[in-house]
Amino acid sequence: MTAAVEGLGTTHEPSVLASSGAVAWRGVLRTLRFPAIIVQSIFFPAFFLLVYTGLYRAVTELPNFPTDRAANWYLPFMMMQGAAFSGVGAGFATAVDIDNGFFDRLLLVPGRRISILLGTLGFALVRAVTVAFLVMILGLGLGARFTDAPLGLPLLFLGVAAMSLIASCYSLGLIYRVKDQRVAPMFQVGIFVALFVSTAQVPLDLATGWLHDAARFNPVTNILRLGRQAFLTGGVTWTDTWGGLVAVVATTVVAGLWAYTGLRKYVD
Amino acid sequence: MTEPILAEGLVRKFGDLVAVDGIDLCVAQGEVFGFLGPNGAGKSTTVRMLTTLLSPSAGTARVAGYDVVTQAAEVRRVIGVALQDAAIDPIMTGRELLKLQAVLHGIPRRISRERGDELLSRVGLSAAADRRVGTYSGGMRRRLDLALALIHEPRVLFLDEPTTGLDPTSRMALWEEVRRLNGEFGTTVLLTTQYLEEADQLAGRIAIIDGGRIVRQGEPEALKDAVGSPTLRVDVDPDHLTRAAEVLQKFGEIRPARSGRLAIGLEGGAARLAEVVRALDAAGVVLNHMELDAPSLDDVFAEATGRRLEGAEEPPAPVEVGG
Repeated sequence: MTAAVEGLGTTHEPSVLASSGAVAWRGVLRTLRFPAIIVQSIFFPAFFLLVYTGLYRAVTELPNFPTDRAANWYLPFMMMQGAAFSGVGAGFATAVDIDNGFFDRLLLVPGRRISILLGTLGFALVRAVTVAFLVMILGLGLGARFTDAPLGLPLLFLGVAAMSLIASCYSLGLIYRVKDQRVAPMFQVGIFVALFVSTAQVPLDLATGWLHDAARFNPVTNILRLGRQAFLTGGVTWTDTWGGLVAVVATTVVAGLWAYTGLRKYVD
Repeated sequence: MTEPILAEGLVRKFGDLVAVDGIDLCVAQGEVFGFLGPNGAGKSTTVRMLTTLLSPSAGTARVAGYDVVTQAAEVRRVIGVALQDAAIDPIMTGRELLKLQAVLHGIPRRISRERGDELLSRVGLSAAADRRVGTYSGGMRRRLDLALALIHEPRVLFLDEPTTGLDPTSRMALWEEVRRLNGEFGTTVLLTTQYLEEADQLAGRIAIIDGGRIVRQGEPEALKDAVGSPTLRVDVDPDHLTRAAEVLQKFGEIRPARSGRLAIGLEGGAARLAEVVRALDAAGVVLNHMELDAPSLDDVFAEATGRRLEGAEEPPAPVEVGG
């Protein structure tokens, strides 16, 4: 066994917080320089919100529909969709970094490599909250009204944050394993299915057939239920909250593990 | 003193493909070590293992005394790496990238600013420091890449094909910087290249790698001396190739040559050139071109592998006969 050379190098191992912050800072800088990065995340939720609140206004006339405003029903979903697409953007950005070799530069720094993942997630979170906030402003302009803002709004943004993290981790876990940009379309396919095979369109009681069964077990349904309470008749209740909290924690942990193990596999 | 780079039986497999097949390396303190080989020989895979970017399938390696698998973070603290293709974010400026690199290496802000400015000046990028990297030329990107690899003053520097795709002026400038780093700061450098001249110019010792194995290792001059006689290359009328080969093999062993040419190790050297020309003429061979070179690293590669190195540059100062 050869003894390690003492005193080599002039640096100290940076803290996870400092390294993560630096990675996140790069994401912010890139977005400011190249705003098109964020446009897609805003465009689709905003477009769908405009279309749905216009086309499906009559959905509120269904029996037992939990609100009399279509915008109240669709807005939380569109905010979460924007957050999810923002999360997928983390996967796209990493795919580009892997393709052009910049990801290797990040892997070569001395700190713990989880900082790369945490920094990427941190930036995705900032971007998701920004997108969700902008979509919310649009929704309020289209007629959405809070029924329980003090409790509902934090829960709504908790759902937004969770969707961002889940989508980020899903796409990152995939690209870390495949290491090829060509897997990128799968990011959106997976998130699209998870979002729409849920109570995106109608409440669970009004869904029928396979969609009802699939939506019942889809954790996105519970996260949506959690977030929608800010806008639905009756406001926030524990009944509609606990399932959402469990879904947020469980799905985020599973997705986080998927991404973390993917990062570890990357150098194997 | 601990060797900066020490590898024993290093292996890397990708499925059934064995990219690196049992490499042993020992690079001494303050040495510039050249890793020479064609594309796909296993140079970059070896560098990726030594820099902790890839886990070895078998074998061990220590860099600056730290194990590349179990002490990977310590290894990364003392190495600088400039990988192939100068992986640089085109949207950021040179100064921003240096700042990012400094933070990621835990360098305090004041020191990183001073060191960043000094490095930008040293690689001649002070004026372009606040421009986005996307506007840089290939040579500027390589120089920035080198600056990024040096921000934390590493003791061991890995340069993976640092001059591939560069124009001659940029290549020379980068060579100068490598010499300076090694000369002034004693930085140990492991340099991979497919350019014979680069290995010859920069490296104190080289390893020639082919098919994932090191086929020759030592000082360039010693390796060339071991080849022995100088190489005589002749270009004859295509119809006379067979006849010319029969004549030439009387003067030395046939060596690998590019398509349409013949080469031999000319026993007795330049003194026998006239004799060769007379013999070819007597056999009715039409001679288009002839050159005699002292053994080169290309000859070392050819002698070890039976073929010429891809991308090998033409040796200088040929002795021409006819047109």
